[in-house]
Amino acid sequence: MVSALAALGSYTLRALAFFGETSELHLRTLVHVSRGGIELRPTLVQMARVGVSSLPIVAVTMLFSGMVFAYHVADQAETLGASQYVGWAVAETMARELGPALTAIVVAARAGSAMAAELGTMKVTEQIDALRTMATDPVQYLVVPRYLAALLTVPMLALIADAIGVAGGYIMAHETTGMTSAQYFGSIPGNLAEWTVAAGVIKAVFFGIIIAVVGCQQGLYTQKASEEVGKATTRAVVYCIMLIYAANLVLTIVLLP
Amino acid sequence: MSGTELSVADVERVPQPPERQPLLSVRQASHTIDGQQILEGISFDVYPGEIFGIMGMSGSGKTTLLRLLIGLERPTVGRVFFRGEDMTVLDEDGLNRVRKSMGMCFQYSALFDSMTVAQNIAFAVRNRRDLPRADVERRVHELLDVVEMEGTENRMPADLSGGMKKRVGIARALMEEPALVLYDEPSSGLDPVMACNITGLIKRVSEDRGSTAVVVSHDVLHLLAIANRVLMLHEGREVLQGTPDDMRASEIPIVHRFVHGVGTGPGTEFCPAR
Repeated sequence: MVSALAALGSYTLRALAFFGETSELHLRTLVHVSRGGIELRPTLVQMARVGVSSLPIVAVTMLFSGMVFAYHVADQAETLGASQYVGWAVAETMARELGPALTAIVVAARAGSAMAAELGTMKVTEQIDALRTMATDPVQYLVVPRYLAALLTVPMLALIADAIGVAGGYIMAHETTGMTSAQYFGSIPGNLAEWTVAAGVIKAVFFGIIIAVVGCQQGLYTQKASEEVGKATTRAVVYCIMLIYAANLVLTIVLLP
Repeated sequence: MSGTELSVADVERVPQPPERQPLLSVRQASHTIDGQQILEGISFDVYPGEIFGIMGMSGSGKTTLLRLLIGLERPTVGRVFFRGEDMTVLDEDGLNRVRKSMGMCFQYSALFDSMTVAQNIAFAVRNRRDLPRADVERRVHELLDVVEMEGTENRMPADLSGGMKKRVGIARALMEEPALVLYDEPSSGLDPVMACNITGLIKRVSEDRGSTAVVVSHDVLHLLAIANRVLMLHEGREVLQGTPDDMRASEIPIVHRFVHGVGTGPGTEFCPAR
């Protein structure tokens, strides 16, 4: 009983420390951004790493997600005599949920882990200290570019993901039910609200912030031992996914009541 | 932070010629990490142009002390003054201003592994709009000449040996022509020849540029060869402070054993004394 309480207490303290460190890091990042402390070249490099390099895996994920979803929906819709709405159903689901959420999870696994690993390695090899000795704030130099890159590219990826998911859905709907492109895509414009798409993009902005802040926090607070870099990388992905799901719930309720 | 107000003028100092003002002063610095006392009551001055050595056994607090000198950590108690300014009360912006007059060479070099040698050396001035690119490149070449690493501008740190990394680290620390350069174990992990070369480089750099150096090392031979004055630490406390000759002649057991390489415990009778 005592050891269980001790473990609970330990987890609670670690959770509080995590939220404190993450909030402080986010605040410091925002201060630098508001002061114009942005270096263009590192930001563009990070945008390429976070956004462009994540595109292939996002595309594959969304293509198959759209196909699977359409496979289920098309079958049920045909039973109910609502086949003409399959395209809209896929598009609505992609825009509301699957596009932003799956994109964020894929980017968290790929880029969030890379942020944690890179900054964690810099921490254990004293490169972070070296930055400070050369009058360079590690948050301004390392975190701000990653923060801006995630904030800007994850929403773009989410939009692309929506489109690819819808396209994948058409492929499956056409293959399983013989649906034409006019039938499939024709239901989307009149039924899919612009706000639904916008809400998905707004969600993706928040998800991008989570990925960057959590990934960088885990890296910067890595303990100085080689194995800790691996642990920090794993934690970054796990925490990102958990927070993305939690944020998704809150944002869905707020944005899409 | 200290519970008492301390200033350079108020506290007890090691006696010095009145015309010499210290570049760096440490007063009663103590430091605790996770409840463990790492340093206790350390006081010393470093004067312009001298090479000040800090030596001691592994775990004596040498590197921690060095980190206090450049503000990477703040002493739990005590003060650190640079050019008369109390660094312990400065925020990070203030410390960054002070650090522009300092350079640091890390034990494992801490080169930025995603940048070339030239980019590493020029990092501190990368955003200086008052420095034309051609001037920066010229200075990088000059520094590579000083550290005898000509032609390595485009190499990556992963392609360099330990000694080469140390040299690039020294060049990087010198880029902004600092008044004070801190060296953390500059000869560690190097063969005897390379260790001697690095030690000679530190001496040459200090003399040629008139810069001040604080060298942390447990390599007694090389440290005593180049330092003007030395502080020895043991378990976070000062044991002795003086010239290299004071260290060699000291009858304090821990100093004597350390300087002359006399081991303790079984099996150490095989260790050749210096």
